[in-house]
Amino acid sequence: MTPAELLAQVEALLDAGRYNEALRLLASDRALYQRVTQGVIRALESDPHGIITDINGNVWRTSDLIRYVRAGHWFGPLFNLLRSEVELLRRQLGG
Amino acid sequence: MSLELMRRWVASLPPAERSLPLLHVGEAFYTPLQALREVEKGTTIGEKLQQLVEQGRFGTDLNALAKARLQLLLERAKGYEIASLSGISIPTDKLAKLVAQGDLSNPLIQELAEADLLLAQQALKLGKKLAGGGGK
Repeated sequence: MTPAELLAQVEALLDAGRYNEALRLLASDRALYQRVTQGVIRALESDPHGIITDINGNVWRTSDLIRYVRAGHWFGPLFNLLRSEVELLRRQLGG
Repeated sequence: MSLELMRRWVASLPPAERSLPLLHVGEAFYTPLQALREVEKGTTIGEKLQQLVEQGRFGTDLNALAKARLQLLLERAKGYEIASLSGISIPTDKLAKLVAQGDLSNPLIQELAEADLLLAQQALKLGKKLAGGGGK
C-alpha cells in the first residue's frame, strides 16, 4: 500500500466515525503519523489564542489542544483537524 | 458558493459574530472565520461548511449551538452582571458555569440563548442570500 492509499483509507475510517481504527492505521506508518501530527499542530498554532468548540458545546483553547496532540491524545474536535490534514497530505503525495 | 462569496459573507458579518461558533460538521463547530480558512484549504470539510452556508443551515441541534455560543459570549462579558426584567441580577461567570454544565434551564440563560440564536440565524440568512445571488 502506498502512503497515499493508506491516507485514503484513514480518511474513509474517519468519515465513518471509526476514529480508533483510523488512528491505529495512521500510526502504523510512523513517518506519516508524524507529518500529519505536525500539520495539525501547525493548524492550531496558526490561531494561538483561538478556541475550538466540540459538538457538545464544550469550548477548547487551541493552546491546550496542541498539548493534547503532542501527548498523543486524540478526541472530539481534533478528529476534524486530523481529517483535513490527512486529506491535504494525501493530495500532496498525489493520491 | 465560491471562495470569493464565502469571503464576502464573512466580511459582511459583524466582527463579533465572525469568531462565534456557527456551523457544525463532524465533531466540531466552526466560526465563520474558521470555516473560511477551511474553505481556503480546499478540504472536504470546507465543502461541507460551504454547503451549510448556502443552505442557511447550522448543521446541528440548537441546544448545543446555544451552549457553545453562550459560553463564549459570557466569557467576553466577564466581570459584569446581567439583569432580567424581573429584577434578578446574576454575575456572568455564574451563568457561564451553568451553561458549561449544560444547564440551560435558567430563564435568564434561555432569554440570552434565544436572543443570540436570532443573531446567529441572521448571520446564516446573509450567507444564503449571498449564495442565492441576492447579495448585491
